[in-house]
Amino acid sequence: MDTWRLLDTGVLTAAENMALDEAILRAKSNNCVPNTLRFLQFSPPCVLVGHHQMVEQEVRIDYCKNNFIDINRRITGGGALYWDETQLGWEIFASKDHPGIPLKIEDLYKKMCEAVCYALNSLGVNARYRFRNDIEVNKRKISGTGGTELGNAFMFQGTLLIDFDVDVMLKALRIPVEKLKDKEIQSIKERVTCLKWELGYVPPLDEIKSAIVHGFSRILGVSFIQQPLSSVERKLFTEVLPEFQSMDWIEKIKYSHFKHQELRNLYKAKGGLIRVSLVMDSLLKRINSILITGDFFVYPRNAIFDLECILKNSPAQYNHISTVVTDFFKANSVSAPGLSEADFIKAIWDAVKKIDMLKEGIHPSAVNSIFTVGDDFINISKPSVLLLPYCGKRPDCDYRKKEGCNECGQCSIGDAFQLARKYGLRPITIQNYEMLEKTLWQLKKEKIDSFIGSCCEAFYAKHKDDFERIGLTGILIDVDNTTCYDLGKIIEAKLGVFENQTFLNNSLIEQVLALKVNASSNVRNINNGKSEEQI
Amino acid sequence: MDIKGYIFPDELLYDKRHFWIKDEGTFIILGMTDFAVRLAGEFVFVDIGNPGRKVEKDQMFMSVESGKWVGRVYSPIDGEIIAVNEELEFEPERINEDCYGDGWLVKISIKDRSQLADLMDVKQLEPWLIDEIKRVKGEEE
Repeated sequence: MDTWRLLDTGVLTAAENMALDEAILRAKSNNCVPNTLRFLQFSPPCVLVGHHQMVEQEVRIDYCKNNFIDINRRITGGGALYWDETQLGWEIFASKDHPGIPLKIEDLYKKMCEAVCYALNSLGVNARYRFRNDIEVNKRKISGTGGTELGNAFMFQGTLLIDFDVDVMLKALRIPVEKLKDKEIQSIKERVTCLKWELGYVPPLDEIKSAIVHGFSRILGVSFIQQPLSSVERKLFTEVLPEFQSMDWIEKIKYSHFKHQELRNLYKAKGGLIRVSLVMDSLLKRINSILITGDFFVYPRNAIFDLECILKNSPAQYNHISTVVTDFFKANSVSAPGLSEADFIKAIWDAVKKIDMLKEGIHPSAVNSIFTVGDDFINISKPSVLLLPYCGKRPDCDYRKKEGCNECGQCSIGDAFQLARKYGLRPITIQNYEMLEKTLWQLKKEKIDSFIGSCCEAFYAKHKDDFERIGLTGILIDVDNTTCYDLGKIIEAKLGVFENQTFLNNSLIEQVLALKVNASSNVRNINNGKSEEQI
Repeated sequence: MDIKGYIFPDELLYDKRHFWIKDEGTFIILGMTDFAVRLAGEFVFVDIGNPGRKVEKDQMFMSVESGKWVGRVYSPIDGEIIAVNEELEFEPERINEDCYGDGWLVKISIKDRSQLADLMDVKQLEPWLIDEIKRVKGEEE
């Protein structure tokens, strides 16, 4: 039986671990070292971006800096990862022409992951390989993988989540979840797992490592002997470490403009609310990744995670999305009470269509602060009224509970009144939900073309179907700052007695007003007929 | 030429890292072969680099990525990058769609023409490649 090296480099910094990756790979490519299974750990915690990712796009740099989280770049591909001291990395360095190593990358991934699955199964965890490089337990990711090569050598690596802090991960990485609220954190937790969550305890690290060694031994048909780094590797490590500590390396990738766009959409149907968060490439042709969450039930329970996986990197074309979702529902006998596959298709497609806003000049960072009612953004024009939330006024304002504003300059409502005047709209302060409904019905009677308004996303989510029931088209712009929903004061707000103050995004309101006040509808309607297929 | 179902244009040169080379006199065009592209799967990133960079024979100077796998691109000659395929920055899938045409990677000026003698034409490539293909197909059976 072939004997490989077992190398445990212990706990090191991110830069040291990345430098060792390169050093070991180079040594292997020169045939200076045996085929190797390496274990690694990180301290301090760090974020590692994939080889081709841009740090600014993937990492919340300020948060990492303020919380002493290192940032570095892998030599392998894939996405950004958060590593803390509890996670374990495993890596294989080997010759490509080793008899046990598949030539086709896809097959190589499968074999490597099966070794780790074998290990996890032996620990009592029901792990299996998921196509496109993940290891999952009941459809929840427990290990991500990636690889690279140099000459006749390759390196394949994976993470193993042992005990996982989702909250810190979400704060350190730019993952497309809305405002990091509890629900979104929960939705991420549903998609990942770790040994502790699966077993209820953390097995000793030696036991975990031993299981992984045994897994590779079994699947590759090799044995392992513990050996240290060679002198060649130590020398190479010393040579390359400065590069991996340098900002040139960490910030190596700078694309000419941001590579992707986050788009979010809320869709409501009888069966509940569907929230879609997706990331599209900046040419807006592909869905890089997608999260489908919300208040709905679906059977089988984790089917949505598989659907997300299938939609990853797929074309942003209506026909393609429709076919994928329909086929998926059928093949997996998916059912969601009160929802059909058509609802999911529409929810996803409505998110994709938000790129229309970019084409109209809305800044990429503002796209998800705009909600629409009754039609697509591109089709809404000639607003007559500006609906404003009373909670935008100061709690001690004389006009807090009545129409009007003396534009004292002490809140953002006064500025909004000025904007309304500038663009010829009638400003109406909405005191409570009852008034909103009455106002909208009245405006409908007046046959206005559309309205512009400002409300928080939670209000929009709650009342989207009410807006649509009434049947007026409109554009709503998100408010900043803490809302009644955040503070759990919804009932007070509904009654008009919420005592906090929110702030309007007047610069975005003005941008939308400028676009829409004199625009005619369908000027750039790219959703007519065949063009619905692809944006 | 069709080698066991993989396309290798007759007029190109090849190396054992699965790149094709087109000799344009004062410069070469470099790309990935049909075999390499089909082994790799769909490309999602290309680090295209910048014109003006000097490259050395057998040294890595750019990278590509498919399915979280980073592939290194090596120069077959000493020279200087005179052009990069900028379309690949946002449309890396062009490599999959047309690896011998729109999916070209870089153009490199030739410093020493004698280095091209190390490359293979399609007839020289064939026996070596057949072994590689056998290994892949053997895995598939």
